Amino acid sequence: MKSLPELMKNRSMTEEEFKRFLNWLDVDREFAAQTYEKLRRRLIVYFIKRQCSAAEDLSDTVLNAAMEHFLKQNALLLGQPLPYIFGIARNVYRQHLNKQISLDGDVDWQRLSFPDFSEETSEKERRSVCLRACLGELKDQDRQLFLLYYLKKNEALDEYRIRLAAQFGLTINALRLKMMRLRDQLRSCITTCQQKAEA
Amino acid sequence: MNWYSEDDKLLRRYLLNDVTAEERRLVEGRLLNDGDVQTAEEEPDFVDRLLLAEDELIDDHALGALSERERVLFDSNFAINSERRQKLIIAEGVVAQAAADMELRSLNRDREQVDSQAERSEGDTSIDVKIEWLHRLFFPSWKIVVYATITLALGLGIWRLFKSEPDLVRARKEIRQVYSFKRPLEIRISGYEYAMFPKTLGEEQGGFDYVALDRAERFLLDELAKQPTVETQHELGRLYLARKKFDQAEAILQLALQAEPNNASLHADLGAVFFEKWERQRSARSTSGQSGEQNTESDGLKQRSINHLTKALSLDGSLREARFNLALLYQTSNQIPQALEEWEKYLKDDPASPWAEEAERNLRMLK
Repeated sequence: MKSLPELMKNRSMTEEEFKRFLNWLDVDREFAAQTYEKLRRRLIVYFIKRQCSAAEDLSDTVLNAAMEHFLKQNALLLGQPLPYIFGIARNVYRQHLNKQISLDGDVDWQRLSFPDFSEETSEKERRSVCLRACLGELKDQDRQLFLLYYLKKNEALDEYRIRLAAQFGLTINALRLKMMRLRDQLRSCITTCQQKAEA
Repeated sequence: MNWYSEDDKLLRRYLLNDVTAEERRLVEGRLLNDGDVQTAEEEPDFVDRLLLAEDELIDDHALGALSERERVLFDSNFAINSERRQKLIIAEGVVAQAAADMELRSLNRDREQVDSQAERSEGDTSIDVKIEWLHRLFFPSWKIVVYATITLALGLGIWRLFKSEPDLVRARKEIRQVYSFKRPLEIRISGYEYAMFPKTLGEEQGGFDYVALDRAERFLLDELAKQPTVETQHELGRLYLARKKFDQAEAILQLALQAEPNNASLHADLGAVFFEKWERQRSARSTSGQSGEQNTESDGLKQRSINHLTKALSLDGSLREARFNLALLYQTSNQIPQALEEWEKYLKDDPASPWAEEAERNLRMLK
């Protein structure tokens, strides 16, 4: 097992802060160091599976961001460490993808022109306008699927979703992964749109 | 075939912090170690499943599909970081948009059906008859000038009549008109004038002008699409409540409350929505003799109704709708002392309106 200084390589935090971070991962110091190493490896695998050439750099970006958030905020408000850190990995991957213009048919949100917002537009109105604008950017069939997925139904939700998958010629897993991709696209688009509105 | 595998169910419980220490170790061990396992492109690995579970919990919350227990755990253990709360706001926005989109689609479908029926009946007329009819209509040519003048004058009149009013005002007028003779629910909806409630007709009561209500709903959806405001959301929420579209009412009122968390009337109407949902679930349960989980869920609805109604009253102690509904809720659930207290408080504040007569009747009955 690596020593503490080895684990801390490339991290801009004091030894004390790093120990606190490890303690957040696992209260048992020895297991925490192991967990940290495993986590770093797992993040590299996460990015490799998504065909990211700079997988190690991206995983370091994730860990640095996690440590920064941890130091700035009350750990209780971050929730459980692993879901939180994998959530950051997902965002880092999405940002990485957005930098590569029109990769895999994805839209370059930065290039889109969003509606003009006046200074008086409230945050809620901006969000609503951005949501509609971003839904409008999805392909017709994707938008139809997306809105149908979010339609409230009187029947059991599981059965409805299974029927929806069949209707669009998808397996359950394919629909779930497609929805995950569409959600990510929409969130990226809304974030960009809101940033532009606030600028 | 199930939507959620056993792994998914375990991950949902893990995210909600509803697992044993052993299950936690198992999940975290797999999250850290399963990465080397080769999975088919369409087969999500364990980390993918964790991220999916997180998204789907948020979706299910936005769709109102979580059980009461899951909802409580969601609020206390899951939606604690700002990113998840942000995702929830987006999901709720999409749910509202999906409902609005479907309403518009169904209205357009109805309109297309009407148009195609009209076209079919016109198609029966032969072309020769049509030509002769047109000839008589437009010749000599001075007739065209007369028609154009009449059309212009009529158009201007109609434009002045309708365009002078915003959609929200038109919708409000239509709705108040429809519900001016009798009301659809025993509870009070904020801003609606008094109308009798014909109890004997029960759940199947009808007789409301649904064309006018559809039109009002469309006006409100149009208004929301053009310029979403809390006022319009509230009006649409009230209409959904009156039309017994409780899930839609809940969604839109929750959205409005996000923008104005201290709006007492919004709390009063959302409390009324939960009251109606609870009342229906309770009736269904007593008919089918169910118990257990449904009981807990139903109690949860009642508690949420009480929470919103009391919140409304804490924000505005003179809000009659909230007081009336709270008294009615206690009366319906046989909490007689609380019901008596609330009816008495109501009558102190409103001693002489037609609503007060109903309150008095209820008070006498309980005594």
